[in-house]
Amino acid sequence: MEMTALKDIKLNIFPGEFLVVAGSTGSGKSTLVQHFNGLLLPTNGRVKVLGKDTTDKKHRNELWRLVGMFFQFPECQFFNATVYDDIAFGLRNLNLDEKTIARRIREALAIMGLPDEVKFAHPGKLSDGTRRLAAMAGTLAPRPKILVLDEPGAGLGPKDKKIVFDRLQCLQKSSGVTIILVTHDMEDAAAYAERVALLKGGQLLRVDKARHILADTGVLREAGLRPPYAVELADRLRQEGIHLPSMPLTVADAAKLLGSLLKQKAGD
Amino acid sequence: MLDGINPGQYIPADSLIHRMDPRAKLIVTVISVLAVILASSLSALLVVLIWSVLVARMSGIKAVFYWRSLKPLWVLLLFSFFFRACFTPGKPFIDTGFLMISYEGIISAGWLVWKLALLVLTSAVVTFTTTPLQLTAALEQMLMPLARIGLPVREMSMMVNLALRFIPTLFQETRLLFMAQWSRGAAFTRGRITDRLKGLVPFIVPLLTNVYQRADELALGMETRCYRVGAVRSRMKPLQFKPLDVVAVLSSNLVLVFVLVQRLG
Repeated sequence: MEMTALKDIKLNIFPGEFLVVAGSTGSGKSTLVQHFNGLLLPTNGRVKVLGKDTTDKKHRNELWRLVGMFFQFPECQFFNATVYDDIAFGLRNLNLDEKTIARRIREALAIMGLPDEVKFAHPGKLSDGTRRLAAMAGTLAPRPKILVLDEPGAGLGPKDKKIVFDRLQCLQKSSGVTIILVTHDMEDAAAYAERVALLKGGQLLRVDKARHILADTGVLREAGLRPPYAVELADRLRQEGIHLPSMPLTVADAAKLLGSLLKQKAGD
Repeated sequence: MLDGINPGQYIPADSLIHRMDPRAKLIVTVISVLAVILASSLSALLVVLIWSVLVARMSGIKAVFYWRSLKPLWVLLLFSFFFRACFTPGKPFIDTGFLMISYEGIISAGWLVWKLALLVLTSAVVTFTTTPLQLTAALEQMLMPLARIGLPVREMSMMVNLALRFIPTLFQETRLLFMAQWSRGAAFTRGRITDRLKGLVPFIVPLLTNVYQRADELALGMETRCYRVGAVRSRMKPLQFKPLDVVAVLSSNLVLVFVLVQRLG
């Protein structure tokens, strides 16, 4: 059985941006991002990463280092007795000397906000959130220029999820890494995305600034996604004749806007 | 890389063969296989061929699928042909001094390949038309007499069932692991053989760990649903021999008898 997984996709991703690739299950978002590090090659059309075609063999062999790929449930990939050895796996594949490796591991753990002692721990003994952060450190250690994350929050509690995403955002802001996040959760998109690419049935429905797409409940519903709570709330309020001064995307935004509105009312 | 693997997968359709009792299908298969192996004359082999093709046609499954089930075996078929052709003594057909292929060798090799292809076809009919669940149910019932001498037949069939159920899951997991470790610079396909073997570690260790974890969860799941070793369970759809099944078994026996008579006569 063969089918076309993706078609008519024209998407430019800019260096250093935080892009969310969103779509419902089976929309082709995972397939799309697997083209970004050369895991998949297009049967038709072209994928250029960092200026070069992914079909270029030499370029493709280097891509794994330049594009960090983070899969769902990455803790299932651990195969070493310590976190240290696991993070070192990618670095050793780069043929770095042990001193540099040790330094890079320290750095990567610090970026993820983990204490240095974690590296001596057995991956199986860590909590879910810590383990996910440790796995992420393993992806970061080879210093990729682009980070692709396929549902990195899957299976995590809200608190751990926030820590993971905050760390990613922090990394993007401080070191200019391009982040491509795959998700179907518009709350995550609302909190972190600069731009959003919406996929539906293997096609690009729309790509635009996050605040434009997330405020458009129609296009989100068309993509089979649930709009952010704050946007739904603003919509309901507008139906009731209450107009917020601007469109809130996150619950925190909405709280702020409502607070000022109430204060204004009290002042009248 | 592991996408295309679905050996002998069940293909749903509504045909006479699909509706047969899986036990009858197994019996017919065993008898047909015997007939293929024992066929020694041209007429016997033709009858067996007609019988197999007839059954395959009645299964309502497109010939393409049968062709595909043969395709991965072409190397084996080619080798069998080659060796049989080279190592059968007789009147020389090609003689290079180092290698001699005889007339008898070519004929006997042709027979061998014909028979092998028929065997694959026959077994493909069963796997295409029978769900794994039906197959294990049939095996369980047919092996039941062995339970009297203390063999855990029910448990064995449950194990086979579970194993079959998890093959696709394992393939999927393997694929994911392969992609994940490739993305971290793992080299399974580069370097010397020792390097490649070492390269398998990051792949096999998590695979096994996950398998054990899954097995553990599965065991818990079964226990919470009151699965007990040794308990006798009833069936939602008890197997039943119908006239069709009797006809099928009898016809396959006729074919076998014909083959045997030809062999002896």
